[in-house]
Amino acid sequence: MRRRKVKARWGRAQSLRWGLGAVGIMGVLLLVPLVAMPAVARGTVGEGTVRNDPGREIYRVQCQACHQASGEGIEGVFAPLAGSELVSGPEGPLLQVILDGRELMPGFAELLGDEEIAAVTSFIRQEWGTGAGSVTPEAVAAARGLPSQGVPADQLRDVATEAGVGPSNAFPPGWREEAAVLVEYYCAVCHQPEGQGVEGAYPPLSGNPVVMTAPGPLIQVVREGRGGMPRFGFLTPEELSWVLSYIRSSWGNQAPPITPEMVRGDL
Amino acid sequence: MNPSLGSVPSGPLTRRRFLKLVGAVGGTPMVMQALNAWDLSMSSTRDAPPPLTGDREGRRVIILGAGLAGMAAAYELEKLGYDTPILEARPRAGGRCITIRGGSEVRELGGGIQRCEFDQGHYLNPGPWRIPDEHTSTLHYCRELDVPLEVLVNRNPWGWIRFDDVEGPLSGRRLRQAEVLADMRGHVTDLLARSVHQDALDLELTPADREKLVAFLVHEGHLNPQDATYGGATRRGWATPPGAAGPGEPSDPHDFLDLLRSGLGAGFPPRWGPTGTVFQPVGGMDQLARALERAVSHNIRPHREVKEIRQGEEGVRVVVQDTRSGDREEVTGDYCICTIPLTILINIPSDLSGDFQRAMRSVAYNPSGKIGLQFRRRFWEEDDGIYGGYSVTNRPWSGDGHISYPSYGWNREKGVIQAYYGHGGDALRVSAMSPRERIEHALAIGEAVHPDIYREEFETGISFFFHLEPYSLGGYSSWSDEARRNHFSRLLEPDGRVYLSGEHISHLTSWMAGSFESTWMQIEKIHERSGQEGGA
Repeated sequence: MRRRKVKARWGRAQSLRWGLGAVGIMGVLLLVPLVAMPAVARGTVGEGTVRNDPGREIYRVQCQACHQASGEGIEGVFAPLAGSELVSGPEGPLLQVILDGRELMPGFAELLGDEEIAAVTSFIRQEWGTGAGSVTPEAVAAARGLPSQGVPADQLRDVATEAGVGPSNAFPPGWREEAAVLVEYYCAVCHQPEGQGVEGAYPPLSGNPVVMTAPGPLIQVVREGRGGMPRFGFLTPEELSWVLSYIRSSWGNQAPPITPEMVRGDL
Repeated sequence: MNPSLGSVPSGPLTRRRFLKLVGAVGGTPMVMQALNAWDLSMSSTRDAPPPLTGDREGRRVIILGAGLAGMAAAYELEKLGYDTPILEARPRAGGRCITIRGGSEVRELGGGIQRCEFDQGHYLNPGPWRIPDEHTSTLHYCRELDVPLEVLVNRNPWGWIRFDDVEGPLSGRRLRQAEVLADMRGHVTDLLARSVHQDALDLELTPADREKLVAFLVHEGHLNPQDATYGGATRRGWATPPGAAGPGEPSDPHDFLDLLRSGLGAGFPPRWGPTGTVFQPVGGMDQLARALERAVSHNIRPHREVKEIRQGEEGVRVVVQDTRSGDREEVTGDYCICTIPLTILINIPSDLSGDFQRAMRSVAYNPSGKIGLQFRRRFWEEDDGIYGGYSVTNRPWSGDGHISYPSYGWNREKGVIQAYYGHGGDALRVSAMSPRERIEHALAIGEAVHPDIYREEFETGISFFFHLEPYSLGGYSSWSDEARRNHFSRLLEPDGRVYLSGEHISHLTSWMAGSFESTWMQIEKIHERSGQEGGA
């Protein structure tokens, strides 16, 4: 069997390649000691912060894929943070959305601690909330107690099912094995065999909100490419749907399958 | 009279002169449009940097990236008095213009490390490897910076071609490309000549026209002049070549339908690629990067990873981090030329505007990579008489299917064959193998046209994939038609004081000429603007 042979080879490849040590070469350092450099005055220059604060790092890992480095989101899909009234307004409603999620936004209540949520919320407000103050871990703890007004994160998974998309009954038997081979061929080399990504280079697929929430942006990035992500139009809609469904249900991801019709844009 | 028209030479309206006129009237975008209308985007639009004058002492243009685009920008701007610091994340200059030799180390994202064990004088160019004669901008720098060139034999009809699993008796057979080319031309012109004789062409022809057409077909197809039929031609090779003792024996052509059904004729030669003479720098493509580096080395600051790009009304501020110490610093200037590949740039925090960022994100990069194999004997020359060019296979996962022979060290002992050159999904698939498996894979491809000997004479190999290289994360930019239509023109213009440059900001994507010419376009804009904006 072709598949079995490929799998055996993969095992060897892994031990040869990944056994060499998981030291990321790009090594983007998390939380390096704060080094404040004197700003060279040369007229008024933009107002970004030079500090390397934990809020920025959390934003980069958890938020940036959807809301973008610029905070401008993706038009029509992911809300902009820059210029958002929610971001610059009172902290209560903002924390509510971050904790519990809303529409396509997953809740971060269980994923992040009070300090982390305070840091990332403060970062967002500092960066894009005109004049909004920072948020304390105590305020986050207090907000956790409030009744949720958003859609709980676990209900997000049913978005596709509710849209009338049947689950895997559209897929031929053995699709998962086919998908595993395609993932090994085309995805794992950059996003890594366990979907963990390479820090500073390729985002993780495991736990990635773009992978797990609305199918639209995910399908778009796979078909159209973006930056280091090439266009995968050379795979058929069927193959793409298996690959995406596999990724959405592996490495701890739990999201409903994506059908060939969705990839084709028929839905 | 528009003074800028003064530099256009008078005389007949050649293509180059027309483009100069168009450029003088409408600027570079108009030239690009004119070129696209001609569908000639393979060739350069410019053969020299813009003729700029003036002294901008005290003005600073921060250049991000010490690849060809960045170094060329510093080289040209410094002549005009600008201060041009080049911030480079890697420990070295040259960007994707590199050469791998014995002792080179290839470190991949994900942890793979290879050490190249080629003999001295042997090399692989993993990125750019050819300079077509049409790329006048690249040739300009080779000339100006004294980079010795030699001819790269780009195509060679004596290279092999073998297609497996195709229809008919030619499937799995190794042929000389010359056989396919000569026979297809011979058979098709033969067919056309018959149609002329039978008056079966949908064409009004006088008897004199008819005679001239048949004469052309006889010439074009190497047909028998007596009856305008094809019975083979010496250009397809001999059964026995002529020599001292005999006149030689011609070879028999392949059957037309066999060729047609095998797909060999339609699969070769490729429609795309350089038409004329192709060059390479003597000793490896990095000789061009090295020459530029020597010219601007005092400006290059390696180990500086860009962390933020900020700008205001009067200047640009770039935050960099030293990759060795972790120290951060700020560099400020009047303008910025950013040549960082979009794969990296889209994730760098900046205050570039929303439409600009959207345009940057509309571009996808194509993965690409190569495998080089060193052989202890140049059997392709000694045994097969193939000097340069390439052989073709249709083996799965063989990239473009080409096995390219070295255009250096002719008739000497050893040589490095570019044994695999793949793009897109093919490159992903092959890079997913371990380095050792990739070499084995490349050997299996080459065995299709060099059975046994390929493996016997093999010594050592190396593979290089740009999507696994830190700070590249892809081979070259690949614009979809939609992105080109909706976003390209936005990236030609600056965002505030930040100007993008590189192969991705051109219609010569993946070519070095694209990097040089986009830099020329941007420095012209900066220089004009800095003149308007007054002194420092």
